Amino acid sequence: MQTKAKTKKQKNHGAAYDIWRSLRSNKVAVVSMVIIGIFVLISILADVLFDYETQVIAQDIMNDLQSPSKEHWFGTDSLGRDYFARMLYATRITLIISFSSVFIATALSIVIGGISAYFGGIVDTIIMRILDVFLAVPSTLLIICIVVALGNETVYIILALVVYLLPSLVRTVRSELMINMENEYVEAARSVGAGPFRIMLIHLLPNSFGAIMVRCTMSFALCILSTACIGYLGIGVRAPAPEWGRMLSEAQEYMRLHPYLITIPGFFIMIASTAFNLLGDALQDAMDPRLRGYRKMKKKVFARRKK
Amino acid sequence: MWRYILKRLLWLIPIILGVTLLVFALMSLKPGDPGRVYLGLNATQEAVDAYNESLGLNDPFFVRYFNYVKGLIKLDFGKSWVGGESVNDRIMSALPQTLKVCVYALVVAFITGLPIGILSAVKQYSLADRVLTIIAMILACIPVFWLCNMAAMLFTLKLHWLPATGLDTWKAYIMPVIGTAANTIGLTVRMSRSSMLDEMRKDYIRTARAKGAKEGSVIFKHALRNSLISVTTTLGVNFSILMGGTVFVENVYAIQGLGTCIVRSISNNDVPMLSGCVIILATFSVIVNLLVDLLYAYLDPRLRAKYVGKKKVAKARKEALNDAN
Repeated sequence: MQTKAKTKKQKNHGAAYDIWRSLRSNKVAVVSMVIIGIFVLISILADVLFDYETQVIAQDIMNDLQSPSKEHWFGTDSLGRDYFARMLYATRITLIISFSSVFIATALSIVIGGISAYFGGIVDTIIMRILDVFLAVPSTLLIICIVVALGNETVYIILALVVYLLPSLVRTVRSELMINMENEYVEAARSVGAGPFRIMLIHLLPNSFGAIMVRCTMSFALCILSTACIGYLGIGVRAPAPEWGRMLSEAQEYMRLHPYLITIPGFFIMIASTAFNLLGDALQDAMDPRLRGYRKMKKKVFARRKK
Repeated sequence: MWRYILKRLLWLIPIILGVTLLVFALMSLKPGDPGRVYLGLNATQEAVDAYNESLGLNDPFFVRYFNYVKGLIKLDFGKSWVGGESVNDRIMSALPQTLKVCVYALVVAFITGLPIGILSAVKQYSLADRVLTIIAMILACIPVFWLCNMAAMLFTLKLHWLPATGLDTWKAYIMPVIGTAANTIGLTVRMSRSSMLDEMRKDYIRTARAKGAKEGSVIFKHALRNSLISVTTTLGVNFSILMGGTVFVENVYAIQGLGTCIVRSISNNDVPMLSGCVIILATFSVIVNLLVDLLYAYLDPRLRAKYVGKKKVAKARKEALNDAN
């Protein structure tokens, strides 16, 4: 036992540590992680900084459309509500919706993709053909249809996003698992008598985890954008609650005189989704041992040349 | 090859049927009282009921779906719940505008995205590459409606260079096309960069260099031709993203296309109009995807061989087996 522990220690502390180290050395990844951290912090602290009832949804027509000032950092909107407070709460709502939809979609896709990859044959064909239908409808329209049909409760918005994310996630999980199924260790596990669940959970999933994580991170960006899209069409999160897309569409009327009202939410959407996408990219690079070696090698070569 | 094409063409039917079923099922979940909307609040309940009955709303789900599909085969999308106009007419007048913008946007995205992607792949890790990839990422993540609004604010309200509504002159096309293309430009840059990088790392490139080929010919004759194949596969997906994007772009620039139709039918609760528009857009994206797949099969010799020479290969394999025995 002791020797085993020792060799483990010498061996770079496992794959997760390697990935983390590679991420840390990537400037873009660090910046995007910091940005995401700030967004998460904002959505946690929104409650502490502003009171929802009195500062976010309470209307104050006397103070409408004020320019940014010390009291109102981003000014006020057409109903006199503090834009800064609304932005913070909107961040929270968007992140909650995105997180829950990505979480549910990932869990479901692992189950469905797992079934599809493990059993193959007719089961696989049926699942994939059904997903093909969902993929055929342009994604924005699919989300619009679901939300219009079911109503704009937050639960249904999450459902719509899950349906939207599911096909591509299932495909990723399935192809990852299928590639890993070719490995000898699966055969070995099967020959020792491991059942499908054991092989799936203990052998296949940990090995496919990287690729799934990358897709998850990128799905976050898609969720943020889509939430904003349906919000912009007025079928997103219900009215008094602040939401980036809806705030943007409400500000459209006043864009001539108060351009910041429209600039700020768009900027938030863009930064948030870009940060998640860049992190996903960096994760992908970090997961790819080939690329990791390449980058290091390149650095070494550069260093040598400089000497 | 013909067998492959035929197989793919036949495959269109179940997909489109599936799409109609999906849209129809979703829309039938939506509570709505078209009779009340059409006849107004003063109409009697009997009249409203009779109107709903005449639309066949009281039939069981599958009967209604069957009737709807029967109509679709005759290219009849039914009547709008608001105003009772034919959905067909609406779609026919709106479709060209949307398709025009989408196709132009696809072309623009391809001819701007591809060279930038190649440039940044060839100069990997240079300053230009870093800046370009980050710009491409931002472009891919920008909310379309925001970009369009900002562009209108700058070019129409401030500078008075471009008109912000309609599609009457060539100038009017500039903003909608670029707005629709924005996301796709970003995606194309990223895609062409990564596929180019993939190719550049392959052995045959090293061989070409070892043989003393010039860098220009290595890039354009060897790497580019192969990386183009994987870039073409993204065209179909991109087209469907463009179609989704037009909903917002048309809304901002007041273009009378399908996007505007969709937005209006959402606010009017106009189910036949909405499902008609969605089904048409989905059908177009399916067809474009099919065409791209066929193009891909044609371009990629590996795939072409799989379908063209199938019989020959099977025959050869049989003969080889016989010989071995």
